[in-house]
Amino acid sequence: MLVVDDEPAVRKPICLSLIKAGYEVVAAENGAQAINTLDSSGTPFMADTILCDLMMPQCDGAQAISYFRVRYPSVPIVIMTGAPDFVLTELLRKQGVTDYLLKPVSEQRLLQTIRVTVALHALRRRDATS
Amino acid sequence: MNTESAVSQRPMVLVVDDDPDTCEALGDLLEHEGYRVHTVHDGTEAIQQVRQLRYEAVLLDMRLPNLDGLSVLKTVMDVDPKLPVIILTAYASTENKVDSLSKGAFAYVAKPYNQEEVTTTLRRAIAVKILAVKSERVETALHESEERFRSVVQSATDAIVVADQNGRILSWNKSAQRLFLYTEDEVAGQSLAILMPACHREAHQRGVDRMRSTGESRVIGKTIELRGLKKDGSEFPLELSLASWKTTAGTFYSGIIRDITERKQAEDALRQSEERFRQVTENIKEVFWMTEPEKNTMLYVSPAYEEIWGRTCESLYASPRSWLDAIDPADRQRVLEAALTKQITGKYDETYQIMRPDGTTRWIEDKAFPIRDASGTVYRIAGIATDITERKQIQDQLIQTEKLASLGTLVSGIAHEINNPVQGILGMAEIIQEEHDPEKVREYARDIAAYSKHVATIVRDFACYARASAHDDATALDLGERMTEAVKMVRRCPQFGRIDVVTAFQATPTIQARRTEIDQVFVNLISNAVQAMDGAGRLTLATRMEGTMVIASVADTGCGIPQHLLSKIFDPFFTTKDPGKGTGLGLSVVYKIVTKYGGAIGVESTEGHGTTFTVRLLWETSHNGPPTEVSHDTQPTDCSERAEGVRVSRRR
Repeated sequence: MLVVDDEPAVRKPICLSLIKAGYEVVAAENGAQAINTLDSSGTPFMADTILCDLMMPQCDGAQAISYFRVRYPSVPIVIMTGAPDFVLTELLRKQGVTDYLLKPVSEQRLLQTIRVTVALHALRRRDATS
Repeated sequence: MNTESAVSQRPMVLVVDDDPDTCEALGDLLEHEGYRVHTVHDGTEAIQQVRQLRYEAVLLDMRLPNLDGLSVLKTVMDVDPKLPVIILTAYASTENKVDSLSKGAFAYVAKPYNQEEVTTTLRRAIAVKILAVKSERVETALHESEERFRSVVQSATDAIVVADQNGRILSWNKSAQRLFLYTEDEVAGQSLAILMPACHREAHQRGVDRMRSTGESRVIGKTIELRGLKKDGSEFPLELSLASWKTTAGTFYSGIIRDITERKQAEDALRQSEERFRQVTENIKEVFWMTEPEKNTMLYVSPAYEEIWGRTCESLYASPRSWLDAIDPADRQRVLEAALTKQITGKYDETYQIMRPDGTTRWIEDKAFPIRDASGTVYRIAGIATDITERKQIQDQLIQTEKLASLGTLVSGIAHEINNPVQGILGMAEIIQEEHDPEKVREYARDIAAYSKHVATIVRDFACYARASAHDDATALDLGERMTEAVKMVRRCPQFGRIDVVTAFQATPTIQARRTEIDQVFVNLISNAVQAMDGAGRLTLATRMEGTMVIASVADTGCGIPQHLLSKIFDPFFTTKDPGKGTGLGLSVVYKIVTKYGGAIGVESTEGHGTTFTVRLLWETSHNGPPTEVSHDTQPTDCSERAEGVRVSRRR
């Protein structure tokens, strides 16, 4: 799990919940750091899901997502946003974003979304290898 | 000399006789009688003398050599018909006498002459000649005078009519003919009544009768206005000056008549114009006023004054500066000074609040312009005072509405900002429920408390901005501080992206204004700057002092504004943004707020390079002391990024 959010108040509970649910979690504070993390990890399939905030300094969510989609087209992306911006969300969905979560998100909704996304990703990967 | 002139004053007489003895004898006699005497002996000489000199009389012998006496007489009469010629002759016959007298001789004296007869005849002849000359002069003078009078009368542009005591027309000049269309022949002897419409005739006849019987007149010597009747039956207004004089032949009237159609039309036009002016000024809701430049005399104030000021117009005429009494004492001096200095230049445009006797208040916008005479000197000031209370309310509403609209754009940023700590609170609270390690529980609870405080801070900031202006009185504001607060608000917008914020705040005096309004100015300007930069660029915020003004500028490195649009950007509803992205009211509200405080806003822009808005506001002078300088180093503030001199801040 790659969790990208500039806000510690978001990162901390999300990471704790995911860890508790049994996921291996890597956190990044912004898009640039997230790209570095992925690029230096050596394997393109390291992340099963990227959970990404939309509005961040340096390299914001939208830019990071475009990058991920080109570099790691098979990794599902779930975006998190504080304010619903339907125009932008639609645009990102077209780019292949799997789902989006509106902050504040409950633990139950978070884990359910991640479970579905990971399952989806696993199916796709199996299809791709077979 | 004296002798000479005395000699020359003596009447000169010419004696013509071929007999030297007679000549000498007559010469002696007449010299003795006081005449100057020239003697000649023939007719040719006599005629020569008469042509050359002015004689008072000639004594002429009938029997002369060369020319005979009758021929001489005839020639002398031709030369000077008034020269009396007395014939002297020894050949007295009735026939001769009649012949010479019929040829113009004054008298006939027989020779041998009687001295007494000669001197008497001569005296009479000279007296008659003097009388004749005098009479001729009078006649000439009279004739000239009459001619002059006639030409004056005939050429006068006014009609001149002379009538007798019965009102019958005696004389009639060309202008009278032009005016009434009758020729002199047509009116001669007619009654004056033909020149007036029926309505005046009875009164005219009474006047003529009264004048004739009692000598009294109500119109003689006066100028009166009547209606005249032309030959073609049309009527016209006229002005009549009537005079009368008496001679042995009776009383005569002369009337000078002027067509006043044009004057009446001009008078009517003037009256109508005045009437229109009165209707306008007495019915408009604005107070129209006129004073002398010294403001000590109120020349005119329209009745709307009573409506708006709640005071009578009479009270203002009696005390021309009493309109100032309604203004708040703190503001009165400013308005009076402006009235005395700016009205004469036409730059007077003041807004002030008045309190009416019933305690209600009104907002007044007062404008004035100078009125100059032909030499360019200002001799009056005219002005219009408008009750802008409602307009001001609408303006305030507009400002409030726009604020709500800009709040809308800020809300998405606020939502984002607030939902992050809320996410923390929710997440930690859920985790805490299943956490058994007391140490962890305490840690998470501390986190929750911290996130909650963060939420509270955001809410407080937002509430500051959104606070209703009704509870917001003017206070001392530091523009640098307000810009810092504004940028904090705008920063929360998603579009803020990676914009560098550079601040260059110099120590400046405070200004006096409502905080929410000044915040709105900067939030709007900064929002526009951020939008112009589309997520990347440098936002430079600066303050400095310039004379009595504090200057705050907001500069971006965005797309810039095309030159042809620069003049429109402060107009309401002008927008270059896509539909739904802006109300088009932002800059117009900025403009209204800044000008409301007597400030100014300027814009400079280069397409593709960026735009700089410059706000100028008067620093606070209400305390009459030196301006309060705000030190940016020590000012306590709840703002997280206080500017210190010049520094560059970057989002997080």
